[in-house]
Amino acid sequence: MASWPESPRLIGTSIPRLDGLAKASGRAKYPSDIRPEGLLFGVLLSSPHASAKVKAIDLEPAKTMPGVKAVLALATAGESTIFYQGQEIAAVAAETEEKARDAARAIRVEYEILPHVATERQSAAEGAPKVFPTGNTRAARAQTTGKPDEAMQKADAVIEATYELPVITHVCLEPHGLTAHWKGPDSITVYASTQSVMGVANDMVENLGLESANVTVLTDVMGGGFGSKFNADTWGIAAAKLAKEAGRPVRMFLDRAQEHQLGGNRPSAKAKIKLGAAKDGKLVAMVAETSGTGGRGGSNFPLPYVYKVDDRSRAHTEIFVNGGSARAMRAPGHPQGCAVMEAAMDDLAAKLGINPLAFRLANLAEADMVAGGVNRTDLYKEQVERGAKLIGWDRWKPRGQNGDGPIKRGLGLALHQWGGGGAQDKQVACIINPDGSVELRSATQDIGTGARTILAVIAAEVLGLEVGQIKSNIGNSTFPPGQSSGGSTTTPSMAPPCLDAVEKARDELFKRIAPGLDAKPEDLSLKGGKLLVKGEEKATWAQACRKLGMMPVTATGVFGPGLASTGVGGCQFAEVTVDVETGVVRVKKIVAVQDSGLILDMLTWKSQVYGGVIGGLNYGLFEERIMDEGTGAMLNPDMEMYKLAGATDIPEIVVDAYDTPEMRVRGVIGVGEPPTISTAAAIGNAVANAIGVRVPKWPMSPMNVLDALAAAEGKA
Amino acid sequence: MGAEAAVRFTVNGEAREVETDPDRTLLDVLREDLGLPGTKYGCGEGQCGACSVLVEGRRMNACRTAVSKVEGRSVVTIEGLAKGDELHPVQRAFLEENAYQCGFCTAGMIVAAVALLEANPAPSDDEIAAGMDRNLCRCCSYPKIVKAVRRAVELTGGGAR
Ligand code: FES
Ligand code: FES
Repeated sequence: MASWPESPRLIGTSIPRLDGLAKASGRAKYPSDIRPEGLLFGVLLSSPHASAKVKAIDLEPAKTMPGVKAVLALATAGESTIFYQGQEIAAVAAETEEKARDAARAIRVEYEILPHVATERQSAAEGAPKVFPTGNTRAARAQTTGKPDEAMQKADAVIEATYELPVITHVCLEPHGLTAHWKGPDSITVYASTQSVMGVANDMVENLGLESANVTVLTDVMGGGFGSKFNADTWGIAAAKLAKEAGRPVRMFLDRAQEHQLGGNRPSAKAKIKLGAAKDGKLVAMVAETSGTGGRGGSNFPLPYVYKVDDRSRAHTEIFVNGGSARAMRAPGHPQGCAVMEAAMDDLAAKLGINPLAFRLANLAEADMVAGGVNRTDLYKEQVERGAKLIGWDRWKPRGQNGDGPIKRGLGLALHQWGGGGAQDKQVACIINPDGSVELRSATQDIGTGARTILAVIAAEVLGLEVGQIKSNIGNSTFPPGQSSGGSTTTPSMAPPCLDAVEKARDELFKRIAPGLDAKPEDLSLKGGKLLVKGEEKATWAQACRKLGMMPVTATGVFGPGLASTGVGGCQFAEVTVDVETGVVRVKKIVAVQDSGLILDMLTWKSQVYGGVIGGLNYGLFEERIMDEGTGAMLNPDMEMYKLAGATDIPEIVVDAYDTPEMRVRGVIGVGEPPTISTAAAIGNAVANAIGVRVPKWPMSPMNVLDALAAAEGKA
Repeated sequence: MGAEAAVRFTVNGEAREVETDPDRTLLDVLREDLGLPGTKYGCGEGQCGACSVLVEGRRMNACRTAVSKVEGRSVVTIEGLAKGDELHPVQRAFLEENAYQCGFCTAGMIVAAVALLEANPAPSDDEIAAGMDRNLCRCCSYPKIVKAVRRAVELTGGGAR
């Protein structure tokens, strides 16, 4: 079994990003900044209607407009059905963006407008128009374990509640898109804002009938993806086709509204949950009916989550709406499953009159497959203990005892878990040049997480160099196969082959230069930029490499067992204040305790956790795709009415790395997703604790808070 | 599309003249005509701050500024903050604090911070948050961004450059 260096010099410390200077100076070139000679601007014409048939498309008016170089229909007259506002109709390439926009507007499209269902409510309503060939809903059979109904009878306390989370969209700051540049009749170079250079290359090969060897996809840096940017997409392929037709490179990026409408989203979730427990605080039964919409896509989420309920049943219904299709979004399914489960747990603890923290610890599932089959019971206990101390849980008071004035204060917590294991078929090449330069190559990419830096950290560790001495060349689809940036799998997939490549290259270097030093390869070692023979400094790194003559060392590394693992978890605590007169929630503090095996770079690791937590805060407080039932249009396809946190919304955030010796021996595991899972859940619970009433609908917006308060008053 | 006209203004200290539709956005002209892609498009609606530039030292959203509006004025973009190889203190602070993930918001953040410190060389934490509030970061690097602005205040000794 392979292993990580035992007392590392760099691994686990805080290493700044290799691309920091490029970003801070404004010199970093994003795919939407690439401007090859002769560049044309692509614009996508998308459907204004949510449900329609395309009866006719007339491209001619666009073709004759000034500056227009190519026009392409993406829908077929008489055949194409429009399922959501924003669906692709046609694409134009012109000399300037304005000319392309004017031309796109000039395209004449005749639609037969059909009835639509824009929301879950509309879609599932009695007598709703059936707008999807297979029906507006698809109910899965209930999955039952044990005898939930019988067990529920024996419960001492039962809650029955419905919790809801809205559809949210990815809102990548750099929209989806790419710049397509043909290098010859059969060969193309594509600059893509993507999480997968290999995925985009593959799409180009399949859609354009090209040979793999003639497709190069480059992603040096890119402006965020969060699960929505794995493919070339219709508009990317269109860019390549327009570029071919025009004989000039074409840049095609979505605008902000299109980004919301067709760039992907996280499905909604609704859960009607009946949860019962015995007096001693043990869960006895759960019956859950859930639903959600991912447009025409799936919306399922894990439930139960984290906790053990032996007798349970769960039935999930997919609801289809005329909205853009869901795509993977940071920890697909988990934030929803976590929010509804944790809300039910909290409500039940309140009903039982038990401290919700103790109630959770008494009901942990022992070996959850999601979390890698590890028994997390003791881990969770320690993590919750650490989190409780950091938030000051001893201040916790039961619901309804959190202030006499209009401003109430509350505490909440939630637990989460994630896989985060890697793939075992990826490769990294390591090249040591005679001039002493070291290059790593792989067809993975850095979506902002620090992937480039992490590979360099590993190489620098093994070669006794500084991180800045390593050239970490990724974001090129022609390099050895690398991992897509998704599922928190990038680091665990790429770190093991990287270590292998660098160790092989080092060993090969030793083998080649040892004879000239009258030494055996096993006598050589590297430290502090020096070559040591039997522990004695003999040459600088540069001098050692010069002994290679003309021939660089090249080695390709593959996966090795023992270096990576799967299964992570953590807990988050939130402290909020709620103004019961205005319904305004302010998050005061969040504590995030997170494990993820061996942490390679503490700095980028913490950035990931901060980012995850604030992403979860957005989900908890602000984000919501609002659909107009009358027109089927999205009402807030912007960055204003689609509310996102700004600097003034950010509370004190305490990130606690659960970085223990036991964790380190597990090897590398990903962290991109787990820290975003439980934030919205913890905030929801803190709000309930503050105001004494469950706000059953996320986000915790003034309207949803006031509605919940009014409903409670109505009942009282 | 309006008729083309010559628009003259200073960009990063250099006099420039562009022959263009005067209604085009400053963002577009900077990125496409003047070869300065450091300023980014995030929303095109004045809502995200990714396109922040300095016009006569004041922060503006270039996506909502017609190029004709800067006729005769001085525009500074992210590319113009450094003096040669020497980064602006705010850039140095962002670099030191690693105040980004994907970095797509960074140019706008740095420009906004420069404008903030120009107007208020020694802001309190609340003033920093308020001053940076119109710039959105989807990777949610805010804690480090705010720290970087604080660090920039230290680097400039509480007095803007
Ligand atoms: S692009 Fe100008 S404010 Fe968003
Ligand atoms: S660092 Fe990605 S948007 Fe701010």
